[in-house]
This record gives sequence, structure tokens and C-alpha cells, in this order.
Amino acid sequence: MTNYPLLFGRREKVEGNGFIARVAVSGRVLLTDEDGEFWVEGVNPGGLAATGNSASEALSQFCLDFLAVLFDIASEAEDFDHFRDQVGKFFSETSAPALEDWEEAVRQVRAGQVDADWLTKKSAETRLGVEVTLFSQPSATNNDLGDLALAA
Amino acid sequence: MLDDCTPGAVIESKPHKNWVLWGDKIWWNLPLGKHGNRQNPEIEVGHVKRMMRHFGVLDCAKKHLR
Repeated sequence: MTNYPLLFGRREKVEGNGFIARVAVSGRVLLTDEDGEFWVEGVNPGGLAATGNSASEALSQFCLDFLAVLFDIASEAEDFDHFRDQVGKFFSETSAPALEDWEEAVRQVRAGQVDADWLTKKSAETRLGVEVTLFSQPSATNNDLGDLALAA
Repeated sequence: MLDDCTPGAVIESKPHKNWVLWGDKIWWNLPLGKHGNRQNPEIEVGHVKRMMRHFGVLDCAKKHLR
């Protein structure tokens, strides 16, 4: 079994009851290769996981599930402020066991024992957070594909 | 298993996923119902294992997942 510590960046637009919100998250996920069965487990946001037959399949499913959770939060948010608070709670739902494995995996990357040459490397100390803003002025500069990097 | 390892846990069905609330923790993307639909039990077990790990009760859950 191999653990890969990843930094997870997503920018999503979500429609709620009377509002459109932009959610920009810079989080951490743990990618695990369990003899060809791949899992992605959220650290921040924690409390969700996805699986696939390859790393890219598991990561794609995780991104879909992440969006599905945002949609579920939006479906019952009374207004934008409620949505923003709930998304903040979602992001803060740190998974302590996954965090422990993530930090150990960072140590292995730094020691050269684990690598993922298909990913760029970024400092494991990269700032984490979630920003939820009211979407009022559409602009092409708001478009962002998000990113994924190996924490090192 | 929920009754034994996470007493008082509540499953809430949402439009896209099920949430499992236990104490101050939430598992946000349980894909199946409380007992699963058994169409893909391996995926279900994997999700449940990770959920129980998140809740800090994996050792208890392992007794039920054998």
C-alpha cells in the first residue's frame, strides 16, 4: 500500500436558494494505492472518500463527490450566509487519522521513498482554506480549472 | 454496526448523497443506504471503513466487517 499526500485546489460555482456562490478551496487529500484499488480520502475537507480503478479515476470521482456535497449543502441552505457557514464547517471537518497518514506520506516524499512524477510538487506548508463568495459579477477571469499537486 | 460503534448516529438522505452525523462529526458522501444495496459490496465496505476511521471507531467496526 502506498500513500500519496496531495494538495487539492478546486473552484466551483454553486447555485442555491436565491444566490450563486463561488467556492474556492485549497485543501489536502490522501491518495492510496491498495494493490491497484485506488482511494482518495479527504483530510480538509474531511469526511468524504472516493474510489476508482486508477488514480485518475479515483480523483475524478472525488471531485464529483466534492461537488455533490456542495450541491447538497446548497439544497438546504436558507440563504448565502447559511451556505457559507455550512461550507466552512465542511472544510473544517478534518479527518485526524487521514491527516496522520498524510503527514507521514509527506515525510516519505521528502525522503525520496514516494514519488508521483505525473504531478507537480508543492510545499506541504501551502496555505489551506476555503473562500465562499457571492457571485455577482461574471467575468472570464473567474474561470479556474483548479489544480492538484504532490505535497513535499 | 452503527448502533454498536456509533450509537446515536443519524443518517440523513440528501439529493445527491447520504450524510451520517455522529457527535460533532459528519461523513458527507455515503453512497448507499444504511445497509447498502449489495450491488457492489466491496465499494460499500471501503466507504464504511473510511467513515468509521473518520469517526475514530475503526477497531469496533472491524468486528462487523470481517
